[in-house]
Amino acid sequence: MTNEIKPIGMPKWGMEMSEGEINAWHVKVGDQVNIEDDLVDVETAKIVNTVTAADNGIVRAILAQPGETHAVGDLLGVIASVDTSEDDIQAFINSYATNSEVVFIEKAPTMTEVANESSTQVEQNPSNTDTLSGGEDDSNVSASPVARRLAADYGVNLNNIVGTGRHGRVSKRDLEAAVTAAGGRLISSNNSVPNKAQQGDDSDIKATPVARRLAEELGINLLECRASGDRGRVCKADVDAAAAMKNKLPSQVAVVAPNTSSSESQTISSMRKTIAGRLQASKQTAPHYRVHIDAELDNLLTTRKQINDANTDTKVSVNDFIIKACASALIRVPAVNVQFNGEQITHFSDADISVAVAIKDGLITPIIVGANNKGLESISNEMRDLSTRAKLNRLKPEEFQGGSFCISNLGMYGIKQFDAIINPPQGAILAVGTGEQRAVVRNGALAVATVMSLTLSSDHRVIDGAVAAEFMSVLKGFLEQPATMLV
Amino acid sequence: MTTNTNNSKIGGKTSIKTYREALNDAIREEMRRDPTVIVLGEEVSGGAGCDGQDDAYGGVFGVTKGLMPEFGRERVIDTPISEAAIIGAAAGAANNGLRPIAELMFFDFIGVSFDQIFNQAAKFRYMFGGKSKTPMVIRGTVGAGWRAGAQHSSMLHSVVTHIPGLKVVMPSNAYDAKGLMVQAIRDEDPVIFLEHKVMYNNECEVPDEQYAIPFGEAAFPRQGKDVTIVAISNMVTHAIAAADILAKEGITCDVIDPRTVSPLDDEAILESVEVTGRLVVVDEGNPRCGLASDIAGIVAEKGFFSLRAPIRTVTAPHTPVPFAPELEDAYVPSVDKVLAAVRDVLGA
Amino acid sequence: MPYQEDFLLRAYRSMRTIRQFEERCIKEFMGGNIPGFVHASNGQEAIAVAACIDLSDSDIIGSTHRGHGHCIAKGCDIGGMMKEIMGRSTGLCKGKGGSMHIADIDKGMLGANAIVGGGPPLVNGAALAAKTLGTKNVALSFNGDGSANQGTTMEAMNMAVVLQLPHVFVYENNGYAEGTAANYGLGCDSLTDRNSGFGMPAECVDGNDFFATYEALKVATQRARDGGGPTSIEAKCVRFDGHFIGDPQLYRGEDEVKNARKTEDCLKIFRDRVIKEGWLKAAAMNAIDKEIAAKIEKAVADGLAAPRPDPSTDLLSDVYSSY
Repeated sequence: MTNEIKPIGMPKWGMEMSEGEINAWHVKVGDQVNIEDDLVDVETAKIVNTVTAADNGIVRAILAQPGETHAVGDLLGVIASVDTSEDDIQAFINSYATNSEVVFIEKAPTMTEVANESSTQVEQNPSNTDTLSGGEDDSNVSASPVARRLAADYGVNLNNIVGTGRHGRVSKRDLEAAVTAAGGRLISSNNSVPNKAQQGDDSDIKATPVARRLAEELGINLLECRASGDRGRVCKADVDAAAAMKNKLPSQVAVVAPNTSSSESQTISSMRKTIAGRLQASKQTAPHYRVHIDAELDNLLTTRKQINDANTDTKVSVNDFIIKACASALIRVPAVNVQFNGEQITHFSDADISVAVAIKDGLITPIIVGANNKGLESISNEMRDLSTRAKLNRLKPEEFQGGSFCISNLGMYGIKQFDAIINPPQGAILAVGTGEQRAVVRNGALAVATVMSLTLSSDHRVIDGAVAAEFMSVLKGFLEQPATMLV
Repeated sequence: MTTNTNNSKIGGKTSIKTYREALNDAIREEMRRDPTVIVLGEEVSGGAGCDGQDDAYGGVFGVTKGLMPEFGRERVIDTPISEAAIIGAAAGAANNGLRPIAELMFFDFIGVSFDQIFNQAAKFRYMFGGKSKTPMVIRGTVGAGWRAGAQHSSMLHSVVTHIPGLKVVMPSNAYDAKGLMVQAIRDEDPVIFLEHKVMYNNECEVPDEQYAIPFGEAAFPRQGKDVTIVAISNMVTHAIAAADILAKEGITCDVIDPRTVSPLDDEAILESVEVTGRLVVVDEGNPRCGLASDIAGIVAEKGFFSLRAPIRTVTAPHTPVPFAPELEDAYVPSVDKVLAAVRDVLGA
Repeated sequence: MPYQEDFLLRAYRSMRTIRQFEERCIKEFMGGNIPGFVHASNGQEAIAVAACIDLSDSDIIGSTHRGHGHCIAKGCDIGGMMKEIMGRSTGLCKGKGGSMHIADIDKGMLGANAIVGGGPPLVNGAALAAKTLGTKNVALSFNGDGSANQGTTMEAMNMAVVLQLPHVFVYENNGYAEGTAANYGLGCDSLTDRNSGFGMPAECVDGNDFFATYEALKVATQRARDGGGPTSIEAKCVRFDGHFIGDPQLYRGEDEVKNARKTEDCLKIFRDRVIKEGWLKAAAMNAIDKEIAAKIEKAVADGLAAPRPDPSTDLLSDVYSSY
């Protein structure tokens, strides 16, 4: 009797659908339906489509109401014959196991899929995998090599599996269907991407710590990612790529409002995406706080003039001084000279200073390595070379990946003061404003001095306020009295 | 007679046999069992009409040695050098009650006989609505490595795989050779049976009894979970060697020998890629429209979401086979090239 | 004297070069210096030389897998040949062809062909080109008795008659199609009779007799040059070695080769004739023997010293003219 009862299930239209909202039914309880008749309109994030009947019969129950959202595979209604008893219908509904392994795929089934759909028919009384493990010696059961191997992993006896693979052998699909139908959980190996039927527990996918953290922040399941990192791990680039893929869904195409002045939309470049992703992650993850100090530059400017007059080859800039001062300050206050990846703090014995350089369509941070050991002239030459090559896109990865501290200078635009966003995994970033003539108070009297505003953004997880303050105080000292850097 | 399936070997008494001897076994036992099985080709016995010894060759590679003395010249037929006539005669005889095993001494000679193969034998069953049957076997020797020059060293299996109506079999070892030959002779369809010329002396344990290996079932000479390597014919040896080297580094491979190229056990390949996510295909054929691209295409289409790295193929270059040893050795894919491809897909 | 002394010396030199070259190839092959397969034509020298001695570089010949003799008779450089057979990059085909595909188009040698019956249709083509361009060149195909039964050969013969092509079909019937008797594979009693059935003049000669073969070929070649169409010349001969070097030749009778070397050696028969007729002195021929021995020696030494191909530059070149 129960063979006559057919479920109307929520179908899976496409890889990404996980649920759908009921819009409207075309039939009511008691209606006769034939195969391919329209039953119910369902709306998903991407489309509105109509579920059609897979069987002939009478609609005996409608369980999902318009406006309700149901998961893929959920029972929406029941088709049976006119004679089927209500008790049987109810029993069917009660015992219907709505795990997402049972999927109704709305497309023309291939030969093997038709066979598999029948083999994944819902058990009335789902048993556990213990019932699959007993039986006689199964070494003569026809099975594909992979299925045989996996059956051993699952502890399943092949005699208990119906084979619908090539030449009737037990295939991997048959085995997995039997395991999940019996209530077991499929083994997700490090190398497998789940098929449509699997849930996404990615906890044992190998990934770099950065990638794992980023994936969590961005809401990416590691199972969805390529694993192109070292030793087969998912790395950050893979997570970025998966995130970019997700952002390409057609439902998120921007709608241009009418009657606005002409504008142009374009997909952002991958550099922009990377910048966007990183900085968003930084702001969301690292608790930023800011410490601000002003420094008077008159002494520095005099010293600079002395150096440049004596030296006809290289002209050092104020920015070169700032780099040197930061490097010296980082050596004095090493607690700021750190990287933090969420789990480990890395202390650096030298100051590798990343300097933000604006380039076409974005920015990049070439590094002066060991700035504390370099003279102003070296720093100046190096900065010139790195900056030029940065603008020509000719930096090598090791020249801009890394660094223990970052300096961002918007002084050339006349900006007085601003706050910068930390470049993870660095612990802090210094935002430098323009040096301008300001009124200052000295010994109770007004005077004029060249003043520059400096703002340090720090990650409060690893740099405490007092530490940041001490750093800024030391930095101010070096900038206002450059000679003290010689000590 | 037992049928071998499941990538397991059948039991019973075995002995060490060469690839050549295994084939000889299979053919001889089938000829004893079934009087409609005949062998025809150039020098399949040898010495016909000459003053010297009969059965002077038994096939230039010795595969059909001893058959003429046992079964006579009515069933083991030395022919003139007329490939089109040989293949055509085999096809016509197959339509009319015989089960011929025709030989193309070097599969490169398919050229002069190609119409009889692709336009005739392959199409009879279909064109005539299923009423006509052509239970014939065409044996051919393929492959490079003997410095035999461009016209004696081709693979060409992809050409015949492309043709509907033909089955294409390429055993990589003596055990498979015997079982697949038995199946080929008993099969109701035209079977192209390709033997790689460097393999005739390769040996392994081969059962003494007669057994048939079904077509379309791949063998897994090595199993693992990190990379899938699909290889055919002589390349299987290279794939196994590469897998064994990698195993020492803790990398395990599924080495898949499809054994039959048409029908192809794509299911086994797809299952393996679902586990490993990485695929390397090794084929001695030339790269355009070749077996390697065919298998890569099947996996890219049906197993895309399983892949964790782009597929790599390792093939000969797009040139004829050169004669000079240095050039021929650079032409044939080597174990090093297979290793490099596997390391590439692992991203190591 | 019906033959010029210079002509006779040239003929002897050419035949002797082939004999020595082939016997040296056998030696070098057995010594491991030659890779792959070699099919020696020692015993069949007279036919090759008789056919080619009057041809110019712009006349074309097509050959079989047993093509060294044809190559030498047509004037190919034996040094370049030996290097090619040894697989060296300075060989006639840069080491890419080997013995079975030895060629030199500049000398009108279209190439040895490893496919039995592969040559005649191509030589028809050369003949067609000559006829169309009005060059008065002729084309000559060398064919074994085995290839007579290949469809392509018979198609080429028919087409040569239909199009009246300047193509001389030379059949070297050495009695064996590989390891099968020529008579076994031929349904008829006489290949010559069968060939005349195609509609062309057909003649059978003793291939061990240089002069008989030469005369027949002279007529056939002139006929072709004059626009008289194709001719079939079947020359019966003996090959002293196996189908391939290393062939155990189980299909041959005991002492068959030993006896043939005594009574059916075309070089001996030539020597005996010219001396008996007083056309050449033994001393002159002995001097040639010595000279050629030295040349062969040099060719082998040069071959062994020649550079081997470099896969990084040579493997992928010469597939296309442009791609």
